[in-house]
Amino acid sequence: MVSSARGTIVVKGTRRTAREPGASMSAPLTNPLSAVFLPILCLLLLGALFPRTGHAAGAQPNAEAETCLTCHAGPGTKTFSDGTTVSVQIDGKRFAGSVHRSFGCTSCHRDVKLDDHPSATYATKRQFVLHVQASCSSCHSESQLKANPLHQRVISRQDAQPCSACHGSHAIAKVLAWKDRGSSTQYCLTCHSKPLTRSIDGKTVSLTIDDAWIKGSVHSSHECTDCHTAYSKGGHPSPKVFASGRELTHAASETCERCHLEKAVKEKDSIHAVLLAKGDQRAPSCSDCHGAHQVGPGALADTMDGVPCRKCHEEIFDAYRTSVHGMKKPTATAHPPLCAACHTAHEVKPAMASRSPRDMCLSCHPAYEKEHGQRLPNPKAHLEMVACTACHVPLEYKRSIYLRLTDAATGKLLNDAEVQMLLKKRGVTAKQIGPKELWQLYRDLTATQAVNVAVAVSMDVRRNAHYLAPKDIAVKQCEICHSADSSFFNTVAVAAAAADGREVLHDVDPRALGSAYGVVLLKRFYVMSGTRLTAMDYAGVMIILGGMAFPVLHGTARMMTRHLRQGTQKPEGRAKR
Amino acid sequence: MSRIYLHPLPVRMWHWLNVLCFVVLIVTGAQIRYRGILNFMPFSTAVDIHNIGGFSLIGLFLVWAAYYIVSGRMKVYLPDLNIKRFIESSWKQARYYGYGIFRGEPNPFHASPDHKFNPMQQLAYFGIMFFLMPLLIVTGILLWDLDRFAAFIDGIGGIKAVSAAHLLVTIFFVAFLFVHVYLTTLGRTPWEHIKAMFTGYEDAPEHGH
Repeated sequence: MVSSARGTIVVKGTRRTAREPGASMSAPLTNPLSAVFLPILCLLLLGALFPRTGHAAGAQPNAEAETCLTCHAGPGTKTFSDGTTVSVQIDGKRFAGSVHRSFGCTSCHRDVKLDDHPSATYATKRQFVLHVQASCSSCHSESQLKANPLHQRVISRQDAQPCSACHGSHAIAKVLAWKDRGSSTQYCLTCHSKPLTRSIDGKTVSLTIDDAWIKGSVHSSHECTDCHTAYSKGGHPSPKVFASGRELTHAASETCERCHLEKAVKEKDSIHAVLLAKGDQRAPSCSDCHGAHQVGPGALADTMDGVPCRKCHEEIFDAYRTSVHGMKKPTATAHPPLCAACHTAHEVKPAMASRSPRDMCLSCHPAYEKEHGQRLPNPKAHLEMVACTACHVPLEYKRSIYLRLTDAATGKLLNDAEVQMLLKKRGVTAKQIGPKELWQLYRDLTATQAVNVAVAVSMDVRRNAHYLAPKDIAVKQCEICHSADSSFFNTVAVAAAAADGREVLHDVDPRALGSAYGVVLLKRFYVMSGTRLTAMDYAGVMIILGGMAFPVLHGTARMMTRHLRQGTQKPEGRAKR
Repeated sequence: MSRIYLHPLPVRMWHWLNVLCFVVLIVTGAQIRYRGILNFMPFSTAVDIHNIGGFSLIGLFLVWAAYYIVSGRMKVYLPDLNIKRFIESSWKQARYYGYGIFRGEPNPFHASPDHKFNPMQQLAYFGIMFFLMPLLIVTGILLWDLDRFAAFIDGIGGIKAVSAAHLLVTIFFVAFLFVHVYLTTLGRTPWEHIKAMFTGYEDAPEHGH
């Protein structure tokens, strides 16, 4: 297979001797073969009088090429020192259709003559290609090559592709010639299927597209220009300048809105959009989740491997992976929830530490109240305050008590700006909010808010639902909560909402739960043993000691006055019981 | 010495069952409130027993009310409506406990089946049976089924307020127990009144009124 002998090419195990130079077309017409070629030549001349639809139609290679094709029309490969190979087979018809069809092969392959065909000694294919490419510049001047800014940029790169990457090696054509062939996608891929990059803010961004990506995507029927609307076969404007790759990504996603407006509107209401509006370029855009060119089906996001959220929320996803839902997800047929089931796919809301999405749980577990009522007295009272996660997350994760400052009518969190202002007014911004200060905050809010303020209490676990454990691990012992030494009440926080919808927490002194101030403030939240009113303990001790003091004092007095009763009758009648 | 049948059998049974309920309720109540400090039974067991004890107490209260209404003896609990007379007799009784008893003076009050309690007893038991027991029972029922009575509980100040009221009544009863038991020993002999609550009979004073 490897050419080694001077002037010969080993092709698929056969050996042919190169034809003598000029042996074909330079023969006189008296040659017996002219009887065959003459009618063909006439037909070709006749055909030349009529318009053609393409370069190659009816074209024939030139004489020199004909000679070379004697051998190179057949299959064969050349292997270089580094193991790379190149096919030495040439399609004569395609060459005849190229803009270089009038050139002899040796015009470019200058180290080969018709009478001298030395064996190539290039170390690599690229070396060979670059060597041949040097011939291009002998005709195409630098000023011509750099006249088009886009072309200039492409060929000026250190890792620039050889001319043949875009223009072809033998079927050489202007790239614009592709306009007439196939789709605009095929046209674009002429260059973009090759290794192609651009630099944005010092970082290299790949512009290479694999045709298979498009074909495998849900957008396989779309053309590149459907999304890249500024580009067409007729024009390739200079790419816009972006400050960063992220800026490019966000700008590119705007085109998605043209077809997916409903999703885009929802996304505008998401925490991701809020982040972006604040200038956080890390916020995801359409392509970050769905892919830019390999856009997969929506169902892909509901798979462990395909869910896009894990790209940024890896730690949370790892927690989810070990949860009861995450463990069942790969094999379960009941579709355990993945990220979007609770967080939604586009209008992603800020995570709430203070309240698990119980409604989400209930959508799949509607019989929860009945099920819990079998072992839990007052299931409604329990489940109102205690988040699903408070019991269904392993005990190693810390529970907290959240005092959600809400509008009583809507349940929405109050604005944190006002909470902060009121706290600042009371001088309690840099420390835990004490029981009295909490009460003052409530009173201040009640005085300043137009709404009816309510403190909704919730026991929950931060990053809650991602750690949900199987049923058998759930907290079942009452004493875990109902105990004076339960750790569940050691962390208390007030929750309000920042302007962007995100939750803001302020630490509260845990003693607030058992404070007399909490009788009204937290009137619906009472955990026997756990959050008892400590003031009642002291009052109780005093009252009971008072009860005990009466017999002690009265009995002592009777003993001390015993001498007064000596010789008198015992008192009559009944004493007070 | 003649004997008075002061405590009919239903009253004696009610009294001692009441004692049993109170002891059970106080013990389990303490366990419910102070789990983590007192750990002599599981929390859920304490709650279950407390519920049983509570409903037993309610049952006993209804039995008490029915018995005293049907038998027409309820008037023994009702203080004298003549305020002047009531204050005078109360003062006499208070003076006896605070002064006369130490000097060996006779008790100004003599019990009979129709006039069982002295004015101070009447005042105490009237308050206990007509106000504190109903308060204890109502708050207990509310705390027993928070779901059913959620709206009502909210209306009267919330769970913490109801719980505080339940506990305050309990504290008063516990304190009163010490006084109650001590006062039973102030008969002619320390065991006289206690025996009477078992036998029903008490010796009448020799120069009885």
